[in-house]
Formats: sequence, C-alpha cells, structure tokens
Amino acid sequence: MGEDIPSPCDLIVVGTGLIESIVASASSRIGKQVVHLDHRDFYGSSWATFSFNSLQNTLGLVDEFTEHTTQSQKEASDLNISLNSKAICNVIEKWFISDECKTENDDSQECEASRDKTSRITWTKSELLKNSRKFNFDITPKLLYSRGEMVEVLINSGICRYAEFKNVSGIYTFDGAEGCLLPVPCSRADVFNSKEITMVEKRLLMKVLAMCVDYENKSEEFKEYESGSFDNFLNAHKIQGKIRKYLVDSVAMANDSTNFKDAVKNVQKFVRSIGRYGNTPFLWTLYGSGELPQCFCRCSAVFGGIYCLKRNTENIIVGSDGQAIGIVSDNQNLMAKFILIEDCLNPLAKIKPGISRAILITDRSLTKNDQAAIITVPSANGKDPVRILELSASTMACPPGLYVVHLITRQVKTAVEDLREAINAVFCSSEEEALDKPNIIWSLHFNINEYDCPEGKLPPNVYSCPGPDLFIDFDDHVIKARNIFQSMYPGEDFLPKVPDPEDVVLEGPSEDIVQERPLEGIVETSPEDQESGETRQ
Amino acid sequence: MAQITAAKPPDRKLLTEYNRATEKLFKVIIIGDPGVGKTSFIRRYVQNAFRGDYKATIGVDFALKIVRWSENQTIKLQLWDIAGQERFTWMTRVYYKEAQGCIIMFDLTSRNSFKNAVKWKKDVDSKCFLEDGAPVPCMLLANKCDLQQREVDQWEIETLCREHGFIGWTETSAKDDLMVGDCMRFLIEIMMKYNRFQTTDIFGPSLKLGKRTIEETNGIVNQKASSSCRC
Ligand SMILES: Cc1cc2nc3c(=O)[nH]c(=O)nc-3n(C[C@H](O)[C@H](O)[C@H](O)COP(=O)(O)OP(=O)(O)OC[C@H]3O[C@@H](n4cnc5c(N)ncnc54)[C@H](O)[C@@H]3O)c2cc1C
Ligand SMILES: Nc1nc2c(ncn2[C@@H]2O[C@H](COP(=O)(O)OP(=O)(O)O)[C@@H](O)[C@H]2O)c(=O)[nH]1
Ligand SMILES: [Mg+2]
Repeated sequence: MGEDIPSPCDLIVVGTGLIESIVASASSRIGKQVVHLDHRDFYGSSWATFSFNSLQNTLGLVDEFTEHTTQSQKEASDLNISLNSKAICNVIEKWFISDECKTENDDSQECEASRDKTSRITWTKSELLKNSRKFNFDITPKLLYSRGEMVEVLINSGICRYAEFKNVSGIYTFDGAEGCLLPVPCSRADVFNSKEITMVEKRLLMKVLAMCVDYENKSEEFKEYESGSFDNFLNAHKIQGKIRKYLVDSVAMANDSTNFKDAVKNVQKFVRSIGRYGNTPFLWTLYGSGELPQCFCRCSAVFGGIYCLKRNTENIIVGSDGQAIGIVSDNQNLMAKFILIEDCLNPLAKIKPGISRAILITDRSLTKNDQAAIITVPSANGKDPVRILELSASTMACPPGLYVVHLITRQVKTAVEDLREAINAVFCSSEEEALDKPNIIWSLHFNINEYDCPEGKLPPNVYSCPGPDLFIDFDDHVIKARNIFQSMYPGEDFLPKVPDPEDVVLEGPSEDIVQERPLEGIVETSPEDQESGETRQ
Repeated sequence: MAQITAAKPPDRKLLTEYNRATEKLFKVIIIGDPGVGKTSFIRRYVQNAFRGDYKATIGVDFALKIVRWSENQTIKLQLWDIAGQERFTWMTRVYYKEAQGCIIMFDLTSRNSFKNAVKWKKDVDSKCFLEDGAPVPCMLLANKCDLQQREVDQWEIETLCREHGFIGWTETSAKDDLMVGDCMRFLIEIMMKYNRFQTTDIFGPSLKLGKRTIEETNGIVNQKASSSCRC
C-alpha cells in the first residue's frame, strides 16, 4: 500500500515479549511514536500461547525460533542483532495413545500400558488434533498475585478490560515420603480446619505468618535473621514437618538457600493477596498467559503504536558518539531515539541454562481441580523445586475431560532429565496399577534459555529485555519494564488510566429507533447456498 | 480525532431509562484493508456524519452506539475499529475476542482490497468463534458504491460470499449514506437470532479486574459484569 513505517520515531521495540510490550504501551500512552517489530508471525515471543497445531508448527516442524536473517552491509561500529541463538531448545514431543489412522511411530511401552486401562475415556491422536483450537498451551505459564504488581498495573491502566481471569482453586505441596499431595491452608479458617496438622502446629504457623506480615514494623525482632537464610529463621522458630513444607514450598516460594528478606517479601505478598478475588492469592489468565503481552500491544496500537510482525531486524546503527541512532530492518534504515531489544537478540548476550519445561495432557485431575491448581514438588539436596500448574477446561486450556499440566524447574541438564523424577512421582508410570493417578496422554519437553547480558556495554539508549524466568509470577518483569520506561522518560506517568470507551461520546444522535420498513438490497446467503468450504478444525 | 470528546459524561438518566427495558451488548469488529472506508462507515453509522479525512482514532477501542431496537429492547453496539496503526500486521487476539459479529469491508474501486477480504475472513475464523464453536457471523460490505470506476463485478462478490461463508453482502456508501443503517440492522437481526441459542457459561463466571462498582456506574449494570466478581 506504499505506506511506510515512520522514521524517525521515538522508540523502536524489537520482540513482542512481555517487557517489550509493556514498555511499548507505556510509551505510546504518553504520546511517543512507537514502532514495534517482531520477526515471528505471532505476538508474545517466548511468552506466547499456542493452539495444538500452531505449537507443533512453531516448535517442532518449523524452526520459527531460529529464523535466519540476511546479512546486510554494516559499519564496523554497528551491532548485529539478527537471531544468534534458539530461545527454545531440546524439544521432545511424545504420544502415549494410539491412533487409528497413524500407528507407525507409536511403539513405546507406555502406549501398550495405556491401552490396557480401558476403563477411562480413551482419546485418539486425531481426535485431539481435531480439537487443536480448544487447546491453549503456554510457553511461559505464570500466575498473578491478586495484590501483585501485574494486577495493579492492569487495573490502574485499565488494560485489565482486555483480559479475564480465574482464581487458582488449590495450592498443594507434594509429600515425597507419603507420596501424596498436601493441601496448603490459605485462610485462617483453612488453617484451623486442617486435619493434616496438629493444634500446636496451627498456632506456630499462624504466629510465623503474622510475624512476617508485620516485618517492617518490628524490624528490631528480626535483626539477627535479616542477613541469613529463611531456613535459618525457621530453624530458630522450630518450624518443622508439614508446616515447614507449606511455608517454604508454597507460601514463600523458597528453597534451602533463599535469603530471609526475599522469602518474607513473598510471604507478605501471599498473605495480602488472599481474599481479594478468592480463597487463594493467585489468578490465572483465561486463554493463557500469552494474552497478557497482547493486551499491552493492543493498548499501544490504540494509542498510535505501529505493529509489524514477520519483520526481520539485522543491525543496530551506532553513531560516532556511541549512541544508537536506529536499526536496519529488512534492509531499511529505521531511525529512533531509543531502542528496546529482547535479550536473545542482544549481540553481547551469552546463553546460560534457563528453564526446564514440560507440558502434559492428562486424563484426570491430580487434585479434583475444576479451575487451576499449583503443586510444588520440593527437591532434595539443594536443587530447585518443581512447580506444577494443573489447568482444567474452565481456564480454556483444553477441552472438557482433559487437563493441561505445566511443569517448571531450573535447568540443570535437559528438561527430560530435570523433570523425570517429579513426573514419575506424581503421574501414572507404565508398570503401576495406581488407578487414582492421572495418565499422561501426550507430553512435550523443552528448555527455555536465559541470557547473561553484561551491563553497560550496549549504547546507553539501547535496552535489553530479559525473557521468561523461573518465578511463578510476572512481578519482576513489570518492575523491570517500569524501570526501563522511567529511565527513558523520567518523571512521566507509567501507564495512567485509559479513558473508558463507554465514556467517550461521539457527537451525533445517540438515539435511533429502528424503522419498521422491510430490508431491501442485502443479498443474504442462505444456509443451503453456503458451500462448506470453511476450514475449521 | 477532532470528533471525539473525551470523558463527556454519558446521559445517565437516559441510560438508566434504557436499562429498565432489556438490554443486549454486542461486540462487532470491522476489518478490511487500509483506506476502504471502515472509519468513515463507523462515523456515518454512529454520528451520521461524513468527512473526507479521518485521522486514526487515538485512544479508544470502539465507538458505542445505542440502538432502540423495539419498545422494550435496547442494544448496545460496540463497534471496534482497527487501530489504524495495525495496518502492517494481523490483529492481536484481544481485538477479536468475544466478537459476536464481524464486518469485512472492501473498496469497490480497489481490486486488491477485494482479494484481501478472503485473507481477513481466514484471519477472523482462525482467531475467534462463537461460544458454541460456530464461526462469527460475517457480513461482506462493498463500500464506495457512489464511485463510478469499479474494479469488481457483482457476480464475483456473490461467488466469494458463498464460497467463504459470509452471511450476506451489500454495496454501501459511507459518503452518501447508502445502506449503512440497513446493513447494520441486518447484522443485528442475525446476531439476535444466534444469541437466542447461546448457552450460558458452562464453566461459571470468570473474573474481570477493576470493574466499576454498581454505585459508581449509577445503577447501570451490564449483564456480563454482574455475573462476575467486581472488585
Ligand atoms: C490483513 C493482512 C495482514 C497481513 N499481515 C502480514 C504480515 O504481518 N506480514 C507479512 O509479511 N505479510 C502479511 N500479509 C500478507 C501480505 O499481504 C502479502 O502476502 C505479502 O506481504 C506479499 O505482498 P505483495 O507484495 O504480494 O502484495 P502487496 O501489494 O504488498 O499487498 C497486498 C495487500 O496486502 C496488504 N498488506 C500487505 N502487507 C501487509 C502487512 N504486512 N500487513 C497488513 N496488510 C498488508 C496491503 O494492504 C495490500 O492491500 C498480510 C495480509 C493481509 C491481508
Ligand atoms: N467516495 C467515497 N469515499 C469514501 C467512502 N467511504 C470512505 N471514503 C474515503 O476513503 C478514504 C478512507 O476512508 P477511511 O474511513 O479512513 O478508511 P479506513 O482506513 O478503512 O478506516 C477517505 O478519504 C474517505 O473519505 C465512500 O463511501 N465513498
Ligand atoms: Mg480507519
């Protein structure tokens, strides 16, 4: 159409991940001209949510994350930002059910085993794929604390109107010794009604929670623990057994080495978030976490941001004074005052082991969960715990009768190795006759890289945005996005409320009584006429 | 942009009056290539005005039109315009979400915009569907019928309409106000018909954050919001 991307502009953002999208919307919101590019054909980078088909296309068959870009001529000082690495690697997909149509490559033992247990509803591969669009698989599933940074930003900006949520209905820790799930009591009533813990434990638990919530006011009492680990503090207060599990694994989201202050901050957030929207502190985004970056992108576009997917970026153009002056994108120079790039495009970034992930489809709930549940499988010997998110059909993650299960832990080896123990402990393995455990129908393992980005090496007007991390919530990323915004535009408001469209009245007649006269001149397609050439799956 | 008065308080009394009767809310999305007349169409329908040049609408998602459908039935129509800036790319899913009706517009004087109508239809069908899984009812509009130099024949439109599952089509002119109200009425009728068979939320209500409280909205309760948690 001959309409070109405006150049120069105020800000070029490369990548549609969460931080990039938040900064883009905040900048558009205060009237800055933003150009937002992504070489992929979907929004969200490593934060995207996919249907079954699009997940397979993106991860398996098509190397979307490793697209090669053409090398254009560049000055010696320019920085190459074409994709230098895979953001996602070690991808392994596995089916545990047979398929009438295609049986060739399903010769694993697991397949035999699941065929024996005919008492459960049996799905076939083709049936699942036929329902492709009923699945919403997150690359980076995350929760929102009801009183966390993300919820506050969404409400204060009004961007919350683009999204809907479900309250997480249960929080559990896995008891390895007993091989069972312990529900974590969330409210005072929960604690006192719990049959899992003794009266003494209940009082102790309530006391520690109250202490943590009151931490700022009583810092004297905490002096001796402040510099130590959370473990140290719990030892000093003789917190052992189940209540220690609750506190460390689920309330403080901590492990053996978490320092006291970080753990207390999490405990406070947990306790304060309870009761705002439900009995647990957490919310899950309907249709998947990948909705959130898109909400910010839509806000940016509504305020004049220009969006361009499938657009490669090759170099950052650096001026003689060391400041970046623009980028080269599909051999076109685009000039801007500031540039934001994803970490994985940062030419100075070094890959480090990141996150081990698995996505499972199962045939029944671990927790009788009808919304979303979070389960922590603590790991022994200093390793990170495995967090499990179980999503039911009501979250729009899958068709009714199935569950989507996300597993998340720190990468040590590969996703398959890092998660094997937890999966075997919680789910039905092939030999077992444990009928109360869910069967796995399909699994996908992969790793998400993290990046070490040396500070202060990029031009001062270029910002590098970290991708997904291990935390269960978005709050660190919201804070990082706000910091980037405030360093670019000091003193400006960060995402003030957008006007409610219902309050924006267009001039003109507001009332209109529909005439009684018959409609003419519209050619209606009658149902018989419609050739069912629609490609719907 | 000049046409928009931000935050002018809506006539509460009038709206409250409407609420006594039954009220329905429909989200309608309007898509098509840049320059085919989408914004002009919305302005014509909502404000009964036409201007030669509309700057991109900054800062609002949709225009709201309240239609008095019958004595005791009002309809709130949200008309979602493409943020003009999204011309280089597909829409975010947020734009398509929960749309109950769709208008795909092309320009009779631009063959290219006609050809792209199919791409737009596919994009809609891949990103949204009604609660029961049926495609969103989609109407094809051939705009700028006031102009002489046409590049698209009627039989071509009819064929495309049939082959790609549009519910119907008509020629329109946002400039001369031809068929603008009528085609919207046609679409509303279809949406009302579909709406009648819509199942209630089988999974129970979801949470909307930051909804205004009933007091704040002065007694205006939108049906959706009242079934979910307001905080
Ligand atoms: C709604 C829509 C969105 C598209 N989005 C993209 C995209 O994000 N990235 C991409 O590579 N291809 C996109 N395409 C495909 C694009 O139209 C062409 O297939 C491709 O760019 C080759 O262009 P061309 O030179 O053959 O035609 P052109 O003459 O360049 O374009 C044909 C028509 O497509 C529209 N168009 C072209 N490119 C885009 C675009 N990027 N975004 C929106 N409209 C476009 C123009 O309005 C024009 O009317 C889109 C097409 C449509 C209809
Ligand atoms: N002749 C004629 N011109 C129109 C009509 N509708 C829109 N236009 C013109 O087409 C151009 C693009 O219109 P606009 O509403 O901005 O299109 P949009 O990009 O689809 O929103 C403007 O110059 C309008 O004046 C119409 O019905 N007839
Ligand atoms: Mg427009």
